[in-house]
Amino acid sequence: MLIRFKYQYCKVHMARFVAGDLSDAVRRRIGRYIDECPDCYREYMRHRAFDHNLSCRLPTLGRPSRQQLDGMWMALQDELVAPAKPIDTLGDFARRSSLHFSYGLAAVAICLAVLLPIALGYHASVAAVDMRPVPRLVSLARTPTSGNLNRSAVIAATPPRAGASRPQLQNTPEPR
Amino acid sequence: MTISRAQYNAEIDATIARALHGDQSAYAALYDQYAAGLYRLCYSLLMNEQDAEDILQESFLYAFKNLHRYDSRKSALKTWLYTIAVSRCRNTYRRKRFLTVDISQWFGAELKAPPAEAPEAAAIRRDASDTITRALGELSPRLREAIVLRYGQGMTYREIAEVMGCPQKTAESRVRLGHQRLRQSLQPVGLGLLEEMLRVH
Repeated sequence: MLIRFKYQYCKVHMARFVAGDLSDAVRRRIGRYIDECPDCYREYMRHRAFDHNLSCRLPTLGRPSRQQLDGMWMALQDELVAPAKPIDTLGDFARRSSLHFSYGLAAVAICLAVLLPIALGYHASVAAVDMRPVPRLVSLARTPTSGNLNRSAVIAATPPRAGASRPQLQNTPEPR
Repeated sequence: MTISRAQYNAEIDATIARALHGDQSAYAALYDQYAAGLYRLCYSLLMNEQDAEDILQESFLYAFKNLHRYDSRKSALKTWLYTIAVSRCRNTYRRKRFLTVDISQWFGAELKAPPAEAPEAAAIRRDASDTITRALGELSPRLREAIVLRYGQGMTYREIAEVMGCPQKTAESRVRLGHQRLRQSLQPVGLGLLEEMLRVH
């Protein structure tokens, strides 16, 4: 259990240990673990081997030949001695203006495309729908079983019958 | 005979002064001094010879035209040049990321490779034997930069931070994370080398 803990601790801190950016106390502790625990030692050696591997191989990656460097130097010299391009102020201004105009036109088109249907369609739909509340008919019915006490308002779209008592609006108290 | 860092810096400053006075040989001397390292940096980041050459030329062109702006008290010339090159490399792979987007990812389809292999693809296949190169290519650009600057160029964390434009602690953690990722993908290689080392010692 303790060995496992030591190994985990070493594994977590090994990169910083090898890079040398740990506090003295932690460095000493890891150094002790490396001495005592074979797994920690192996981890340390693996890390160092990998570091060594990277340090040996990466500097050789893409090493240019002398000819390649000379060719690039020639091209660079050509560019260095080439006269600087005159600043095309008028052309630049025209190009920028045309860009601004295009973007402005696109923005206006998008605004129109979005807002116009809403603006037109909104009024049409408002005009078509009557927003005033319509009074609904309510008929009072007495259930035969409850006798005379159970009164309930039945909200229905039933047309008033010929012989029925006068219809009343919902929530209107019943006349006593 | 080795020269001290102070002497080296004094020599570089003198060369820059000569270049600023119009001495062409001073420009050539600066190019000779830094071109190989800068090319390796660009190649390691972009993994493409043509792009690396273009970035190298652009970087030197910019540096030589703006040499009067360089302040040796703020940073070393090497760091300044590397900062310029890394910034251009970032622009390049940002541009390429949008150009070479994989459509198969959008549709979840497995598209077959074209029958005829391009020369660059063939070169990549040849180099694929070098597992470190391949693993390096799989790292994210920021981690790759950190690893290449640390192990490929042997820079200190302070210099890496300066080149990458981030705090030193961030540079350290990027190197650590990159190292960890590379180790994960190259576990067998590392173990092989370890055994080799243990046999030697």
